[in-house]
Amino acid sequence: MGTVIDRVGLACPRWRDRHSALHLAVTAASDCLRRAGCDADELDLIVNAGIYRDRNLGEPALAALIQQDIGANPEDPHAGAHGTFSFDVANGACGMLTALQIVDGFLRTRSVRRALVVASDADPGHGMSERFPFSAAGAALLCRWTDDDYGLSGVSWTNADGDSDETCSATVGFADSRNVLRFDHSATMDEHFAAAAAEAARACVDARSARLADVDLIVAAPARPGYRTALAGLLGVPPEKISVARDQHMHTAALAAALERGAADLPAGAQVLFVAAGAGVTAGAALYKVPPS
Amino acid sequence: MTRHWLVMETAGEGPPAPFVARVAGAGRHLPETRLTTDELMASTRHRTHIDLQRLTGIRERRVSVGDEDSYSLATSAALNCLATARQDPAALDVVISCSITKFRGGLTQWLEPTMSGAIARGIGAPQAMTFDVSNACAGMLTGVTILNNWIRQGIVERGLVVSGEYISQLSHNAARHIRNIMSKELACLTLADAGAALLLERAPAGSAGLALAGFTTVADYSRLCLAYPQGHDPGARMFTNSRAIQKAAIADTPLLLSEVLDTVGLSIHDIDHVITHQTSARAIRKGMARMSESFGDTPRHDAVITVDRYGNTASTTHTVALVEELEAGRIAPGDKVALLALASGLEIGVVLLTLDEELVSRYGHRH
Repeated sequence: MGTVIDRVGLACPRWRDRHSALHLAVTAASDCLRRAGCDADELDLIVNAGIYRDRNLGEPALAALIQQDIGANPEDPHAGAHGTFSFDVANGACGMLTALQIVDGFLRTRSVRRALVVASDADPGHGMSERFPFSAAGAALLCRWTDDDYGLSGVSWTNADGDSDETCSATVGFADSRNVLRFDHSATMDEHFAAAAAEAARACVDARSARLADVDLIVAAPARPGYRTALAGLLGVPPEKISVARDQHMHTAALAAALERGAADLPAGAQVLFVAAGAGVTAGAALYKVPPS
Repeated sequence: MTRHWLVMETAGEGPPAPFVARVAGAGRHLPETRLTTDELMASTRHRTHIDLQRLTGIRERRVSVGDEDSYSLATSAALNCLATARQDPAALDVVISCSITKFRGGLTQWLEPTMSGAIARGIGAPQAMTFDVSNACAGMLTGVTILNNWIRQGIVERGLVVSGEYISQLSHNAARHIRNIMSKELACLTLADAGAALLLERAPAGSAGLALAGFTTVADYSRLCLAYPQGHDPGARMFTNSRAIQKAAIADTPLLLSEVLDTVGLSIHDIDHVITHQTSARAIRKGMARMSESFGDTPRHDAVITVDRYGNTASTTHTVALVEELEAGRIAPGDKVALLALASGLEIGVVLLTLDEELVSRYGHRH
């Protein structure tokens, strides 16, 4: 019994999308829905976990613009039909895992039937950013509830001690009469992320009385090789057991890309462990039992 | 099965929830500095001929003069909420920050790490799960909806929904650009600063607490209000088609409110207090008059208005008004309170709740 992911959609960045997180999100969402044979109007919930977006937009939620652009019940409410609820969450590279946990709450209470988690990032460009470190990328996960013995477990979270802003940060600050998005990170960021991720992974496995040895695949974010190697070392598993996105510079979409890359051939009943770590440092982990395709 | 337009929990769909989310605390923090509408309008670069007070009913608002930012406003409100509830922050499972503005250390907007993580550490809850919600002025009630699901299902026991809005900068920016009443930045002049926090915790099924939370996004209107950094102004600027938003809200809200009332088996007259998003006293009165026309009846009390004193404090308005009513002793235990969200998106939401004796008595009133 739990939340299952029916389909993963990824947006291949095109030249004209390089500065538009909105276009990337809409492309990923549309691709996901088309491949699942799901009409946009069937969506009850859209949760966007992307962070870096067109114009550094503050409001509305980018999810509302995505909803309008994919055509998910954008019209005025009318009797006898259902609408769509959209909003954004932000939790760095852990955002997709947070969004899955939020979607699980809506599915568990049967408030919604079908939900879409979306995440995309793009350099806003046009002088609004400096040394943008992430690839333009977008991803979407189509979710539903199952009463069978498959899906997402509870999510375990850990927060590391220490100076929270030093490991990794992104700010929009006013200098020289303009607002600019700037990034900073420490040389030991990957080690800090891996330590928090390993702690969350162990807490998750222990809380469900499972064993790491029973996990068939670890799906991890972010995708940097240093993080992957450090995480494998801390968990005592071969790095090949940890699936990460092909593009190491992918940010909030990385968890979905890692799932798509690693879990395509897994049989029903296979045990996946999602692990994500991000700025804070905060990390989350959840077990996921793969449903029949 | 009847389908509703709103996303909300409906009895009979799935197993009944084992718990209720009770409101264990509500806190706020308002900056000391008062800025009158006369003072604000005297600061416009152009002679605008706008009678803002007559248009909005706003006499004054509270503003940070740079001494407080989104982080400090949120943290002060959270501590106020926890102190009122006599709750140890170490027992919080989750802290959700829901502000539009994420200014920390002056006018620096922090995108990573999260504002919620900074607040959790700042209030002594370093163990709590944290994340930020961004849903314009519906942020806090969206956070409440997310947390309500988790508490009802036993996923978490206790959580804090918090927001600090240092958003008056948009008002100062608008004052430099507005030329006349047709300006798309007119709505910025209603904005003001505040922090707010709501503490929700697990209670046995059948207890007083959140009865229902329902939300929808009417995305055809998603581009009617956009805020982003622009040009050479610090912070951000906001461009709004207020007239179109008000028209859509007035047209769409009655159907959505009646879905909520039907679901819980209440009539509009069973609602004791209505707290709407606070943008303008005139807009609130007009909206409520339309609602009364549509339902053929009214809630027990007139809609709460705090916008005249505090302005539009973005995602914090409902909690700021709720605390105002509690402190004034106008809410009795068992009263039914409807919080109506209206926000850029276009987000429309209804959160229906009842406060218990334990909470109401914390504000110094016994009923």
